[in-house]
Amino acid sequence: MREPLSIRVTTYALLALFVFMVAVPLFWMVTTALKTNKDLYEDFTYLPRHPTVQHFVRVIERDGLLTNIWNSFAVASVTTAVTVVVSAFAAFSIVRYKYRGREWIGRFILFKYVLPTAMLFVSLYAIVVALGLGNTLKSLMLTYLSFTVPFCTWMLMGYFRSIPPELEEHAMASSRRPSSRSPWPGTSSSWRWSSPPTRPR
Amino acid sequence: MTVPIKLSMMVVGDQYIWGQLMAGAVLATVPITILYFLGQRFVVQGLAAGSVKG
Repeated sequence: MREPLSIRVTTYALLALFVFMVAVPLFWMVTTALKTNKDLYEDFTYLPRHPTVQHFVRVIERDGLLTNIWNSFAVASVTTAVTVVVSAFAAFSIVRYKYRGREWIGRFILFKYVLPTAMLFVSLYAIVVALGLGNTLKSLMLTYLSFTVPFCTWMLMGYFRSIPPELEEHAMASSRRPSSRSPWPGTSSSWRWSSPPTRPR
Repeated sequence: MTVPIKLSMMVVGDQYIWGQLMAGAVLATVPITILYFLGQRFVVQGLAAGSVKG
């Protein structure tokens, strides 16, 4: 069913506005990078009159920006990898296993998530200096982990809750080899059966 | 030093060397763009799954 014309026109007008708001800064960024200094500072143009890559060459050769991009990339990759592993196991254990203080661990993760980030900067700085990690990339990875792990754990807890435990019970009941039944109720097999639905397909 | 720190250190006082700043910004977005196009399928899927689950 098609909506009336007025609604469609309004929708597309709003979308066009959003595209404009996103695209103009990008356009400005790229054109400014390609302009010569004369075009930038003396007489203004929207499109560069003589597109040049001199700024790119300078920023790579003199300022060595590729090193910085590599650093950013390394920090982001390590943080992501560690976050996925740690928070997947943490969320799974909080949702599926019964042990003392389980609810409170979940609640503290929510508290960390609600706490304003700006409040943590001073104490985080003190901790990083006390660990002797000042001015290193490792300290940045650790700091990011303290933000990302609670968030991802909270998100994954919701997701693991939505997977029926019957899946694991079925796996435990129908496992043929008794050796694959672990001493604790379903430690290995429950992880093996409940983690695949969370993977991207 | 990571990219944001480097770019803000390229501003000296009130002197903005716009050409090089913007060239740096463009270069810094390249890896992100490549990663996004590699994983675009999963981003769309995740958005759909997230919107269903709430």
